[in-house]
Amino acid sequence: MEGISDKEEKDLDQKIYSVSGLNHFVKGLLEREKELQDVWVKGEISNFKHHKGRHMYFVLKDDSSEINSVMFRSKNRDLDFEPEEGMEVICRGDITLYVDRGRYQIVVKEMMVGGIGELYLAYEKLKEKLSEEGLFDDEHKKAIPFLPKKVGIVTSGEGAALEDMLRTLKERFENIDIVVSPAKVQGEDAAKDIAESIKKLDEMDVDVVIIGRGGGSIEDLWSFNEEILARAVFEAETPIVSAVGHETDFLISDFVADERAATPTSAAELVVPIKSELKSKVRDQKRRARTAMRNIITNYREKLKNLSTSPVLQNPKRMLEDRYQKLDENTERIDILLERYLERYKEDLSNKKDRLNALSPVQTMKRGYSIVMDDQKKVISSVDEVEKEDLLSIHLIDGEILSEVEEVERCQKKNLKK
Amino acid sequence: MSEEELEKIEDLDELGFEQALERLEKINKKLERNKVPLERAIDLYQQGMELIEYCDERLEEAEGKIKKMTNEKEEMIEN
Repeated sequence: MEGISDKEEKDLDQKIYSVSGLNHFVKGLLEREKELQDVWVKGEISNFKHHKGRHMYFVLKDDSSEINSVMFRSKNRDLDFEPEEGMEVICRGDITLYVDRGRYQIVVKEMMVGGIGELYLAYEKLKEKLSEEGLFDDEHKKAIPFLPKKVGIVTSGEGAALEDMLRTLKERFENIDIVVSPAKVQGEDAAKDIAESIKKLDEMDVDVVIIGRGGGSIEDLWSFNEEILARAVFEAETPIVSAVGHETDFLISDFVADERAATPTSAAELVVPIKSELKSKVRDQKRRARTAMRNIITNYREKLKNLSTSPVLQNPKRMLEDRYQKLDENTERIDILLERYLERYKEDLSNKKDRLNALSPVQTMKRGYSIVMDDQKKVISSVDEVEKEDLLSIHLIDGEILSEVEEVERCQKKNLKK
Repeated sequence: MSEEELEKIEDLDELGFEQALERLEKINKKLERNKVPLERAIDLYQQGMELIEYCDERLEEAEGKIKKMTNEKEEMIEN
């Protein structure tokens, strides 16, 4: 019995909700549960009610279950299609509870047609995954060469995209080399096919690869959103330009490629410069180089001319004339000096001559003195130098007398010898 | 911009078209300033002419071939 009274006591402690209070409580629980907000759900539309410009009410159901759904006016006016009974759709919304009816429901914020919706989800998921892995990071982006020698193209073997690209490439640079590796660009295995073509071209000597195709439905373009293709683009050593569909189509290949072009034609424009423009640039530079060089040479020639008109170079003779004049002046001076020197020398000489004359025996001899020499022309100054019968010559002022010694007589008094 | 030496480059292919054109422009700017010694000017002019020749060659070297790889056999069809 005690057990029962315990239970009763417990029951009495319990809060008793009003119906609306309970519903509000549950509503609060649902709305606070993060897992139930912003959920994606796939199902078939049934019981669809929509008055133009009003909220949409419908039931999403599958084979065994259903959920009440509402899409308010503020959201449903952005839909690009009119939902209808039996349509397979994918909805994104918040789980809540409609208090009035005590029914839980989904408030739809976004709705897509089934197949497309699934694709979209896959796209978002893959985009996030690859982004996290860093496949879209700028540091992996390779520069598109300014002037490729050879351009690789991966696209459908037929079709406007290839024609557009070839035409544009040729228009811009008529002698560009192109390698086309055709691939299936839609349908099953297309992504694998494109990936293989990328690998093939990557092993060749092409400098840049354009992958692309013309516009189409999102399903048509889908292969460019597939992982195998994204990885092939990422792994390629050759820079890759992704050009799929139209301006508004953004595909995974666009994010992972080194460059995105809005259309195949603009990819061709991006990859190859206009040859005539480059040619004229080169020509301009050539002209500039020539003009600059001509100016430099003219400049130097001018300088040379200026130098050569300096008086010295203009009339080198004048410089010589000056020198000659100087030389002449000096010559004259040296002549005068020489003359003076000679005169002085002459004077000096005649003085010396006079003195010499005074000392010379000639004057003495003129007075009657003579000089005696032996037959060796040695002057005899003592009787001791001669002997009897020696031949002597007596030199007078005007000639000589040859004689023979008959007798030598020494005079004591007159011995002048010392 | 600091004065660049613009020493002669042996392998122009390593430079590539765009760089070659840029270099050519630098050389011309230098020549146009007209403050280069004659010997250096002649040297730069010669370099410039080589760059022009290289650029011209680069523009003309491709033969305008379009090759299409066939998917089944991996051989090339030349158009």
